[in-house]
Amino acid sequence: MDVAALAGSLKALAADLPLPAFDAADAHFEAAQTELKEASRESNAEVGLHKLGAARERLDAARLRLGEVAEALDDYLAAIGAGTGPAAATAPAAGVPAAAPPPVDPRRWWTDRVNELCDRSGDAEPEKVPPTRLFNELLKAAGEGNADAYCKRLRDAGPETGVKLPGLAWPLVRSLAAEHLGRNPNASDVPVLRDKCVAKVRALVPKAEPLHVAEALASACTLGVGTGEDAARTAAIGPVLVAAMHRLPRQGPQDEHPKTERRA
Amino acid sequence: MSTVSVAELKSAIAAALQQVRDGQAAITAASQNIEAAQGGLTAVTAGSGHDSVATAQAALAQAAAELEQSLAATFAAAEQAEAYAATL
Repeated sequence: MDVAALAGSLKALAADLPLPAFDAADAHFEAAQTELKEASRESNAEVGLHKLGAARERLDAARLRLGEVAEALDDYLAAIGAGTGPAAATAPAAGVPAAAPPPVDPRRWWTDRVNELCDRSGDAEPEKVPPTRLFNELLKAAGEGNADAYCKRLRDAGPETGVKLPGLAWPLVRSLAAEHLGRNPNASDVPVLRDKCVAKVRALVPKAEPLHVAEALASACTLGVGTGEDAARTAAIGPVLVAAMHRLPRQGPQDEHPKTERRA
Repeated sequence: MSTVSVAELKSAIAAALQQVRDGQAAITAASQNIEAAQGGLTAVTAGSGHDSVATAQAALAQAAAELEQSLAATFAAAEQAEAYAATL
């Protein structure tokens, strides 16, 4: 199953979560409480009001859990690069059962996507490595301009480790941008930084467009802006962007013109 | 002095019990839906091992448990209401 089919299935699943049934049940219990209150107005007997109150509290707790389900599914879709569009938009019409697509293989998807981004081919040789080690290996490959190694390391790491790369890359990008600019970066710096880094990024990740590099820079420099919906692309850009930023000259606060290259 | 007849009280309780039964039916349907979602999620994401998938599965299981307890509370409520009606 491709990512689009997986996304469709998960969005349909999220859209089918039984929140309307929760609402219906709660409305019935509320009506029952009203009737029972009226019926027990002249009595101190326990007629079930407290139990119904407890039932409604449990229902509310279950509703919160369903909210967590929807949120987790959104997170997963984002992690596999399938986006977080509204579930209802792609859900089948009520009463129409969704066709059950075969399960997707996230590693296969990752391999294909990394190959595509790096404009290379080959199967993954899965290797479980800590994210920091992967990050350092990718930095080394990027520093050496070794596109083959860069693609292979990223491909072999798989999505479980690969999606953690931005968390390591963005703080460094921000720090290096601050060193380069002589001050903390902001959104207005993104176009300039993009123009200075995009060629080096695309040398290793040819399918990363300038827009994608700008998104990554914005995410790193403005603390919180999203980086699009393609987890593999975001992961692929991170380390090479750090390497590219590392090569930028430092600038003092009063001097925003390049001085000397820090590294060859 | 009471202004409500015993028949009216029993009628109100019967109406309440019907509401409870309708609510129970809705919860039962929701429970079945959640069970189907658990199966569907497992099938679609088989072998992913992703934390978010595990989170979703855990939240579905917790929702199912909360529904069970809600349903149990409604049965207890219905028993109390029926017992009260029997004393009238």
